[in-house]
Amino acid sequence: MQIKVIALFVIGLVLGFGLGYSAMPLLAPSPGATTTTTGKTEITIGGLFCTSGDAAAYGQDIQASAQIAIDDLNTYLQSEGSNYHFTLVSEDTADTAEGSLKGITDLYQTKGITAFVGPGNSVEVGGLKAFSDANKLVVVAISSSDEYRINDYIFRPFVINGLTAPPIADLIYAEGYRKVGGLYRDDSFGTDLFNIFAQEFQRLGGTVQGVKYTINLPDYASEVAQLSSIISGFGADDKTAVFHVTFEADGLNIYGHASTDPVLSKVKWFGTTDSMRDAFLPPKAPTAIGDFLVKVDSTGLFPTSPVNPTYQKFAAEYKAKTGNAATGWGSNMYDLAWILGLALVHTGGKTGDVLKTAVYEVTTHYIGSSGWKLVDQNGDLAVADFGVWHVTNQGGQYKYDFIKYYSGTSGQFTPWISGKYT
Amino acid sequence: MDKRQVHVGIPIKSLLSFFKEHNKLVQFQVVDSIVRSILIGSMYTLVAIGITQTFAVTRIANFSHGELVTMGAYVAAIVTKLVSFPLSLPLAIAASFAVSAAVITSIDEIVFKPLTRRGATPLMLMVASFAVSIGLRYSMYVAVVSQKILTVMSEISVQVVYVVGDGQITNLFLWAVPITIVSVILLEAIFRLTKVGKAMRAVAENASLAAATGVDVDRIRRITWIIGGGLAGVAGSMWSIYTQTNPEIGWLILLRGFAASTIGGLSSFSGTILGGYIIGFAENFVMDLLNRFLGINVIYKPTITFIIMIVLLVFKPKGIVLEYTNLREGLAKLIREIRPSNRN
Repeated sequence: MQIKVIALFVIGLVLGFGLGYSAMPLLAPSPGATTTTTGKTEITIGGLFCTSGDAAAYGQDIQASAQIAIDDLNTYLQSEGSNYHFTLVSEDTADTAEGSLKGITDLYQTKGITAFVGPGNSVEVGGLKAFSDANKLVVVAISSSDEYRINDYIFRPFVINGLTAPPIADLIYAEGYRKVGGLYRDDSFGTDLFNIFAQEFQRLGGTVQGVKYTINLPDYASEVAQLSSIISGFGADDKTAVFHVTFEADGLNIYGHASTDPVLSKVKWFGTTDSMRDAFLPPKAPTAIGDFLVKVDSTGLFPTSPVNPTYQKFAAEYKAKTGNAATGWGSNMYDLAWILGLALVHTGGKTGDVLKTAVYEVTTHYIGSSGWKLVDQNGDLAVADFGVWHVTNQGGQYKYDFIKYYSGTSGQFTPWISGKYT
Repeated sequence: MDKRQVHVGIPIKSLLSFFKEHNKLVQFQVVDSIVRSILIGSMYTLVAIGITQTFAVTRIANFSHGELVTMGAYVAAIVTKLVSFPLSLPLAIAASFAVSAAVITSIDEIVFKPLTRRGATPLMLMVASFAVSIGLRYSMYVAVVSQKILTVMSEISVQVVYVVGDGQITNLFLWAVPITIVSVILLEAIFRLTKVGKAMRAVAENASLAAATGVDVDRIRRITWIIGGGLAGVAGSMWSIYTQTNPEIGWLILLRGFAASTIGGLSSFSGTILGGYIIGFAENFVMDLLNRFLGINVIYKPTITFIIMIVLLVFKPKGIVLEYTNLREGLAKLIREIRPSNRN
């Protein structure tokens, strides 16, 4: 009896496998979301953005930027008499690995989309990576940490931590600071960026002590108190500075606490691309925070020159669409969507390995809103230029002013000359 | 010196001498840490008393309470942009109360009341409240994104008003702490001294029996939701001054609100305020102590908070319920209960 049951089970398995295998071509998605009607080729790009969750502000930011890029690309193609037309269809990743995987799976299986832009961090990229590899889905991601630096179908033509952290360390050391108290997010981005920074700053001869904080908390008062204690221990003198890796909601809470801390208000603060956001300055932020950022001469890096004409065009469109000033993330996403679109035009809508090769080709020649997007053999940005900004208050108007320029190819800072990099 | 004084006195003296010997007090800003703990404890309590209020009467563990806090925060932030200070503060509080109260009362009519009538268990109602929570949160996402106010800060900012030693008393401290204490006292008074409060207690005990004795259960439910939801809105108005408002803020605070309410036995307002301050002190004062003297990283802050909560609940599974009109007597009884020597 038992043998009969096992035999039936095995037969069932074999039959099931056979049926499933033969039905595969029927169930599999179409080879790409490319349709040609009346001489017009419609290509759909998938967008994976965290439009909800902790980083929703960033997701909304990059989604709007990608859409602006697609609109501009369509206008350009139309003006050239091209038959190609692009559409962006987005899914919310909710800033999670599961959300990211669900997003890419849904877009692939239900809409047949095989080319994607968007995931904004390592968790999201990690979530979709295996699926992308297995199905040869090209993903042009805006960010992820170095753990995914392998040759796959994922590109990261964004200022990765390995390119951002060393110039920050060089800048702080060059300005005469030797002791740095750090405050950074406990996610792969924050930890990775801070560790590379600390390594570089210590190599230069400086001292670093950091406070890593749990993300997604409603309040960071005790974290700021610990940073204050470290800065006190360093003497809070003209050789002491703060370097912080924060996002928007946590950043505002931290600035709020730091602005009433007499020790932290005495030393200079350095930040990252993420520290340059409209949300940190009045009128969006309280005046007390704006005054604090001016007082501590909040300084940081922004990828490429913001007086680049492509950036200026994008920034104007972004402002008109969202009512906010463009960010480093948005500017990069704009370029990423353009790169993917141009590569798809180059391949005639073909995806997989062909598209992967085309993305390499396009990035080699593409200089956009955020600068040159040359990538290395892993698909990661190979070189990055930065503008060095600081916060000023000119006649009651708070803004980010550029003071220096960093060339990624020479590794040198030079004074900012307004209009030079147009 | 009696036995009780020995228990309390020696650890404090030893700790103080340890601090002095190790010269750690220089970097540990005691007053600042206490002030922060009181402020954040009050902010958590404001969230928690609404949870306690609605649970005590309706027996619904309302997980959509966080979204009511978020709504309150958005409403308050918007009011401060339309009206200038100081009028903006009372208007923001009133508007937040009204909007959150209106929303949760409507939700009760549409979701909770029909479910209760159909015999839904507390577990089913809790799951329904999760669904309401997610629905409200993502509706807010749609609304605020369409209005380009995904993230917003109140026009009222936190300012230092007094400096006490190394601590700083802010304007928010002077608003949030009294509002919390007055709210708790008022709720306690309503619950214990008024007809409505007695009716609430009757409904909490047995709604069918209360109805049979002439209590208008529907009216009592509405009043309960108005107060509970309104308080969530008031909490949101305070949080909107404290930090950035976004659709997730209420959800992030909710867990601590529930923790405070649970410590308070989910039915006692005085227990809830104690729970709120326990969480506030755990996240700030205790964390600061552990960090400065034992080098424990602040990354463990959430863990420490909930370890304290679990330990407290192990000793007091029904939560800390101060059942006495005389607070001193209540606290003394609580200390006697917790002490190992008195648990034999």
